[in-house]
Amino acid sequence: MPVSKRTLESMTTELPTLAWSDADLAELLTPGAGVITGFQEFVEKARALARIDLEDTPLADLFPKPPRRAP
Amino acid sequence: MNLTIGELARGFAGGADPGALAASLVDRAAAVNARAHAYITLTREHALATAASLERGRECGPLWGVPYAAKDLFETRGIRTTAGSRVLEDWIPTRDAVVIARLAAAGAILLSKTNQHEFAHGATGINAHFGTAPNPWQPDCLAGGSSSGSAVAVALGLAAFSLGSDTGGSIRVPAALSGIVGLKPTAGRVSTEGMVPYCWSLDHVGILARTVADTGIVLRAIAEPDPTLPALPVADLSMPRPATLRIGVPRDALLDGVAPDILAAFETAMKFLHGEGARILPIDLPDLDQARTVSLLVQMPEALSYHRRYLPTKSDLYGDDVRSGLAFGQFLLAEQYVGAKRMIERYRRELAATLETVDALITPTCAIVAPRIGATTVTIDGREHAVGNALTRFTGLFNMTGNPAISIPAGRDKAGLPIGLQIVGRVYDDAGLLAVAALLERRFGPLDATDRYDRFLGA
Repeated sequence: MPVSKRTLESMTTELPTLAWSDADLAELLTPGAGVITGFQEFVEKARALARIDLEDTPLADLFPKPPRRAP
Repeated sequence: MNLTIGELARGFAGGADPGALAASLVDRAAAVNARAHAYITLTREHALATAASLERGRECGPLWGVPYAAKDLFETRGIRTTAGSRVLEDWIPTRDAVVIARLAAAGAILLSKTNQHEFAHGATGINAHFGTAPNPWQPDCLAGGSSSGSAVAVALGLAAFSLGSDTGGSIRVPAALSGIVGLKPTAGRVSTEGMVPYCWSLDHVGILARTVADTGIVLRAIAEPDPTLPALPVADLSMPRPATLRIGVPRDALLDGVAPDILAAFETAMKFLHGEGARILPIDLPDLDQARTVSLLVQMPEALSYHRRYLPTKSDLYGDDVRSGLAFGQFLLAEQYVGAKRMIERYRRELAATLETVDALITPTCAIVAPRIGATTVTIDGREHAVGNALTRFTGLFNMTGNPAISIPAGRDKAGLPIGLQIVGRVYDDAGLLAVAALLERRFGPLDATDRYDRFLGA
């Protein structure tokens, strides 16, 4: 089921979010400025991503690990 | 000014006056800025004071007296720092960013704070408040962003180099579109302290310059002095590479949707490297569309977390595009963010394994040359692509993996717009990366920008 404006409105009133205007929420669902990907399209992509089994892969550190040096 | 840092150093050693050069460059920048929109603040008095304070006679480093520009998200003590936004329009920091302090210690002279995409929140460089920097080669096209003004300042010969930031391609993209070199060093090589953040997990500080050698000189000056890390580039980057050099190139499918002239430049690069004795090996990269999703899952919540301090009182001062992106971050789930950070670790492991089989990767920097200002989509081979995706498709992955990556000019397309090629090295092997870039630079050379300023001013 696609994300609805009502869902987003409920989140902003029931959860500790910032206040977002009607226009901000509308832009998420039906992008008109040509800047952001539509939220629904993104949700679908994120859903596909969530199906990947990451096994026990941990979170990435802030910086990559330097190569090991020979002792 | 079309001089390299080495040439400037020789001029200063011969008695040339850094203050006179700095004043001349600032004046030229002021004269062109109504058209270039490259600068938010010109720091003429600061530059002259710095020049006056430089001491001759002691051991001068290679950046002594060298004029540079800095993206307006690096904190500069006593000089306003806007991050390209009305939100910070009157902010005057009380400290210098670490990179600004390092350059001051090296004797470099800050000329200006450059324009950018607001809060570095996009790759086009479009800025509704401070203006959009046009392309130095074709003013109805974009210079690229987010470090747009930093690219234009170097491309027009108004600074020897500039500082930028890169979260998904914001140094490499404007470098490619504007015909100069842009380096994103390994994550952690250069401190981001004192830089207005976009996304802590992906932000990098880097360099825009005219040549690979200049880029290496600046990197040595701004890098963290950490003896546990592999060494930085040596002065002579043109050392011959061993004939065993192995270059990884993406398999054909990954190059679908790349503009034909860019593909032709890419092929030329491969032929040149092969002719130099390098082995060209096809490699697999992660699904780049999926990687973009991972990147956004990290970018959006982190950006929102920083801007939470301003949004309740200054929401109306943000550009619509930035506020939309921040709202996006509000509705992503914490578990999605954690999953994305784990995917990044997986990307790092996969790319590290790939880079055990090759010494460097080469890709186009962007799938397109500079798009027209105002375009939201571009058409390649009959298919429509969002401008932002076409610009950052090949760059964003390496912000996640942290590998050093550089864009170098590779000629111009049939319409005269610059083409950039991206080279990616092993983590912390910034020196090896620059050596490969210097080798490839021998084939393409820097773009001839001798009269670029006058042409741009008269356009």
